[in-house]
Amino acid sequence: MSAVALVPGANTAIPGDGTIGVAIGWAPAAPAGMEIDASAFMIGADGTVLSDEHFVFYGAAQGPGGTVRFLPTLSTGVPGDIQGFEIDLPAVPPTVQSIDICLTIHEGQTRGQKFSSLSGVVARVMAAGTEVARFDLSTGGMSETAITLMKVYRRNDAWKVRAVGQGFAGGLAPLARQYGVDIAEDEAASAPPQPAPPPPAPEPAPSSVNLSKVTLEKRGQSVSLDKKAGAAGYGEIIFNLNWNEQPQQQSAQPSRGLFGGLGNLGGGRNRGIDLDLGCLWDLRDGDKGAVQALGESWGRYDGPPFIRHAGDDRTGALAQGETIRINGDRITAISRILVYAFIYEGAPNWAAADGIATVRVPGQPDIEVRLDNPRSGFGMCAIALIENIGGTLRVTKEERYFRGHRDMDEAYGWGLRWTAGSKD
Amino acid sequence: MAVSLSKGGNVSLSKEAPGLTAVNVGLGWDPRVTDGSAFDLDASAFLLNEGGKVRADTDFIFYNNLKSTDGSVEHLGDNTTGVGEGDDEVVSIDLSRVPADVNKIAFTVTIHEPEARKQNFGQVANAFIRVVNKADNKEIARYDLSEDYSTETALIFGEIYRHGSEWKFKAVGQGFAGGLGPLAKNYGVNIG
Repeated sequence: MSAVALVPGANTAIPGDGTIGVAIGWAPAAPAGMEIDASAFMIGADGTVLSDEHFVFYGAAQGPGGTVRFLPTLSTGVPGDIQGFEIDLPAVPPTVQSIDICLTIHEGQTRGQKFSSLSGVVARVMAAGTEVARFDLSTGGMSETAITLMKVYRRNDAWKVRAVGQGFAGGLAPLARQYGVDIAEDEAASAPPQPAPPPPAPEPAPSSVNLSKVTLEKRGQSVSLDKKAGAAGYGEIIFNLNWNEQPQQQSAQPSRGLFGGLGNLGGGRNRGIDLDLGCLWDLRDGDKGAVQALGESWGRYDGPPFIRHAGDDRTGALAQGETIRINGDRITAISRILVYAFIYEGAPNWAAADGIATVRVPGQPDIEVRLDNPRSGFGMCAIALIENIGGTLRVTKEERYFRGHRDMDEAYGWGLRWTAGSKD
Repeated sequence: MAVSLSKGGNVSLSKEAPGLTAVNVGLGWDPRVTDGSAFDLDASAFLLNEGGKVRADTDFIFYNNLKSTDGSVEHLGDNTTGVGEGDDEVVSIDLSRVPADVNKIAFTVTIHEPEARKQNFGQVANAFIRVVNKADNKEIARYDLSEDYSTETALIFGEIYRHGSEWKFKAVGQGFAGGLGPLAKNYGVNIG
């Protein structure tokens, strides 16, 4: 028997009365920055769940009695199968009239993601090892972020499946509400299908594949980093700053990568924004200092302060931007590091620079800090504070703007003496 | 107690409600709860002769022609409220005044612009048709279409027809391809 292809609204009988599998897939399988999760609602005659336990999802992978089981990763060998469910039809309590299979885009509305961003959304119903029905959802123009994909339901003492493909632009909260599951609005974003919500909670375990970045959005927000299992330290921690050079006359100087840094020789025309990345460091032995290009304080990686500036990129056109390497295996020697950027050349126009700082720790999701809250006229920005708290690294977004090194130093009580310097 | 019919079943209204002279035929369905275009469903009635055709175009009772020329059949309009709980649309029929050459009245529901809205009856939940005695407002017969439809966009819900001196009601639940226009043509209406 060949599988019945369903269109929305169509239904077909499920042959046999054993355990069925529902395989769900979409394409691309791992869309950048998107998290897609399947869930199932075991509902009664009134269309709502019999209890909160009848909502089967990532966080509660089995319904009561284990009759509906969520499979977060499918290994059917069929391309496109990503997540799925096993449903033990004969054991499903008679009060359950339908098991509605849903698909949600995590935080789709806030991230501006919807089902029209996906293609190849498919649900296949397998009985006795054979595909008996499939539903290929046409996602064109869909503004929904949470949908009911299909219903597996009782009809005259037998089980049927119906293709639905309807849902809500507002995401999981209205979908769950439809099924009688109340999700508080503020929880909705981080509720179900989410292995580990972003800050301030701990990072996901290194074993889980999480391609998403952790973005520290608000000043004062912080994230603690777990060490890789079995590792003595954190390995090489990369602190990178990248920005848009934003030349004022793009067409006049096509080779700005070569000449951008010398823009001030051209009478001030075509001058790009030159950000310098640096850090103040404070070791546990009481030694303290700064690592930055200005003054050629490059630092050392294998010895104190275990921080090394990777060089000066004065254009920002290089993909790497400016980088500081921190020896995470010597974290015990370090007390705190304040990473900062300052505008050496050009007007202190942070908005135009559109700076983005990334902290990269081996085995951890990247941490991003965007310099998106600029204070004009202030050329110095403290980006992030990295602290050693009992051997665990904590990264806190600072994004505080200062007139210069001295003001910043005083604000953080570092206690260094500052003199004017120049790169030329 | 009302008779609950399944597809193809029929019941004698005259026997169930002796002395019956007028009925309200209520048609209903669940509104769409998900996002997207609402279900715009239109109920119509066709006054049909022995041959199953309208006697004239005016026997097609719908949103642009709410009342039959003799006044015996009246569509009470979209989303009537207060006439029986749950009815989305109601057709009122004075059986005693239905002309003798009208043998049957068919009740249909069609989805407005189904292609553009990508809708069919399989997405509409809990569709029903019921016949209520106007004299005491009691339900005489009811037909829940539930699974008797799927990807149709036009459905004949039921029929009220003469059987000797009685009036009977039949649960039809039959789909019709193409929507209201072709459906009306099939009943002999001249659609411009």
